[in-house]
Amino acid sequence: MSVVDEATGGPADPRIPELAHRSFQALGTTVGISAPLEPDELDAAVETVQRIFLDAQTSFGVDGQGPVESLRRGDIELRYAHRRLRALYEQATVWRQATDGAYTPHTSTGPVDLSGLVKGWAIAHAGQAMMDLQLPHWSVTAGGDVLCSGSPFPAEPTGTDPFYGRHWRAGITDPFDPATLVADVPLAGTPGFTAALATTSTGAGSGPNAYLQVSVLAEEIVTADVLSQAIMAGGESTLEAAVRDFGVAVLVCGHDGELLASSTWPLQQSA
Amino acid sequence: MNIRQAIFASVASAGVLAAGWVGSTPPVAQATPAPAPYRLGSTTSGSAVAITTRPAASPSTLSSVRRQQLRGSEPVQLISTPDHMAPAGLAGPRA
Repeated sequence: MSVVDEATGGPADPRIPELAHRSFQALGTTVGISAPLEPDELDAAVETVQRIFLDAQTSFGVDGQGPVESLRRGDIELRYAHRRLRALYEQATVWRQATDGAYTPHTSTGPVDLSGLVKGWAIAHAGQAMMDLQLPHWSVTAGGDVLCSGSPFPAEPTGTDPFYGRHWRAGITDPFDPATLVADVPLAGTPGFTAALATTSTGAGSGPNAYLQVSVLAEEIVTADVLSQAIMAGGESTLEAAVRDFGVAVLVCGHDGELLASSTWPLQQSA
Repeated sequence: MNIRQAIFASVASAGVLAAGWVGSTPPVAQATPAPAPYRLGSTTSGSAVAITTRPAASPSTLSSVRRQQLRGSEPVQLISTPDHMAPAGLAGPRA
């Protein structure tokens, strides 16, 4: 049986492994790793990524337990916390300043809350680990966050084409029907460079927000993740500032179901 | 030299470093990639972005869009779904 290349429709390059997937549970969510790699290569890479997420769980905690939760409850003071927590807090305060306070590392009652940064931190480090392993084509997903590089179906470069095959394509779930997608976007990356998508939704029990769901496209995951949370909290003025200052693209779904996109969001040409 | 090394060698020799999410035109559909829509990305995690040819960001005009404008016909490999609303079988990567 001949194998057909999904990117070109022609015969697949037998030297390039098929896209393979692995997943595991960490930080209270499902982490997915996909890459066109041989099974043993992918398993080795996943082992490394698992260690990073385990390290994040140990350093920061998960599901209302651990150092981040202790900080939030006020059980420990930041100045006595582990240097990693303090470094994460410093990163969070930079984002607070960059978003004019729309993103904040504090709860509404005052204590430090770094839970919004932990997953992005882990995904970013997982992506860096994949690069350190010299893997050019991969994706890491965890909940609403997607980070990828290269192509799911890489091809030998031809001429001036810098993309080496078809881009990744990521779908965004419909906030009114999680079984369907409301949008999908190309995430194209030359090997070694990243593209990121983060989606934040109004959670059960959360306070009033301008939007029901916010998706942000950026070049790296912490930016996408933080800005999606900031826009959810800050509304349109934060959205405009995010697009202007960070060059991201944003898609939001209002509580009435209306879909609003920044002018930078990639729309389908045929529509 | 295996395929991965070959690809890296090609990247290095071509000096091509464009990346990032792209617009509605799939890059592989173009005979010659147009540089303007493509965004440069970051090689480091969570740090400053190394931009060399980032186009000037234009002020956003938030506009209403139809669902048909947001969905393509290509298969999806990845899913972005907020944690609290992920149904069984939808979280994580798609084949």
